[in-house]
Amino acid sequence: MTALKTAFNHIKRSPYQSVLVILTLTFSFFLISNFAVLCFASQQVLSFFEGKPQVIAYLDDEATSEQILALKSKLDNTGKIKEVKYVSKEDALRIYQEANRDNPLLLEMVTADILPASLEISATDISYLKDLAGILEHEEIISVSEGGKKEIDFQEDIAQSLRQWTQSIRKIGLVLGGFLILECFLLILVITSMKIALRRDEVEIVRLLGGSSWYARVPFLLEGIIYGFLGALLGFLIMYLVLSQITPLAAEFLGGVEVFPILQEFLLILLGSTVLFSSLLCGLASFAATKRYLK
Amino acid sequence: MPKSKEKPIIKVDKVSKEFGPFAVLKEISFNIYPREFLFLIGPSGAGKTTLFRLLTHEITPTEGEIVFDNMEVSGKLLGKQLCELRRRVGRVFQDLKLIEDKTVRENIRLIFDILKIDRKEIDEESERLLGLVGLNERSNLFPSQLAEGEKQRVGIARALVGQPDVLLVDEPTSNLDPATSWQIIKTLQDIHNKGTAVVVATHDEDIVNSLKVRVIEIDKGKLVRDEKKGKYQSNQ
Repeated sequence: MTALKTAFNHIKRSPYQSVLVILTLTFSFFLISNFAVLCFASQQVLSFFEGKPQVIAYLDDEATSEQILALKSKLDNTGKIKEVKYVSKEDALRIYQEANRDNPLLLEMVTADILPASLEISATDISYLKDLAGILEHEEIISVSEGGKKEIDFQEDIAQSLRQWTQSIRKIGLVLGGFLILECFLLILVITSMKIALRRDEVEIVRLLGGSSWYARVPFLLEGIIYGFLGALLGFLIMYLVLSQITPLAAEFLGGVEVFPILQEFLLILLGSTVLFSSLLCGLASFAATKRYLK
Repeated sequence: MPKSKEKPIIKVDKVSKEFGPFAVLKEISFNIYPREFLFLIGPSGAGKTTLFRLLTHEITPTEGEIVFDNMEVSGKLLGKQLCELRRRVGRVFQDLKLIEDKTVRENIRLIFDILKIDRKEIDEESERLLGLVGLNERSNLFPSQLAEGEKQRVGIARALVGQPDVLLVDEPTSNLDPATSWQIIKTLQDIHNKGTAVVVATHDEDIVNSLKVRVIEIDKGKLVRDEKKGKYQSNQ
């Protein structure tokens, strides 16, 4: 308790330095938290698209149930299939009605007869989509458009570019996060070294009067941990405030993609891990400074 | 005064200390006995402060041996041993080394923390020590708000926190007027009368000559005199 009190006294006695350190850490951990949320959200968007039927093959009205079952079985045998779902004409109408329930005029004009039945196919990996589409291209029971092309929709491009985006965000986040963490470490190292230099006389007196090196060291360690704790906590809180402001806009922008609001469990884990990591990082930086200057 | 067969609490045996090419102490040997009061005298630069630094293991001798109550002080000490030594050998520094941004009370309480003395005792013991040096009413002042004599008293009170067996006092009267100097010596005598060995390094001729106690004289790093009831000699 005495060491903690001494650490708070150190902070109080050089308030401008302390505020500057906390603000710098806050800004760094604000950016780090933002990147973590961005990575999480982009991963969620990607999972959403990957989890959706990736290939929709519209069936010819003449297709029999035996032919459809045979095609399902053929697809299953490729070993690249997560799920194949048959959507009948009636199911298609229900989906249509659901999608257009605010437009009675459109609903009146459509019956189950004019909608095609389809197969919604999910692959175990997005890279298999082309192979699966290739198989479907040669199937007779897939309907043909007026232009003579088989009616097959697949979202490979969207998912591929999302995956690239996600990977890029992750890479940029890691590099930027790495630099910010290094910057935080060096900042605490320099500030603690300065504080030790400022309090050199006091440290010397403590040592001369019988204080162990740990007695002199612990308040500086705690000071670093306090900076780390407050910096990460404030950085997270600011990020949370910003996030709560942009959540309605982002949710509207992403439409049916259920990413926002961000899962509270994820935010809690993020808070806990950044605060813990930052406290440990700053404690380690202070320890390095005391090791160097309090021999 | 030491009894003839009493075991010394500090034994200094042929101790030399060199800083680079400069020999500050040369083969010094003497003993300090429990409950003794003695003066360590000598001109500036004679090596008195260096000797105190050696006795508290602030520095180690180049040669020779220092033993404090069976503890080999001249060798390497572990953290616990060092803490124990500095608890049992109190030191009042010439420049006092008070922490300027702590009050008198805080300067004293700090030592309780350093020496890990039970917190329950702190308030009671702090009051006792402040009373012993007559500073109860000024305990909430900062060192810069005190007179030189009062600062000296704070230094003494702080050195007494660990109830040391030996108190080393470096030039306690150097910046004080005669009246205040005598008050400080009176305080040190009171501490000695309560059973602590007191070693005072000083230049003050009047005080040394008046007290008629043991005097150890060092000159140019050598022990030149060790007398039971010594006096400051006129040639100094």
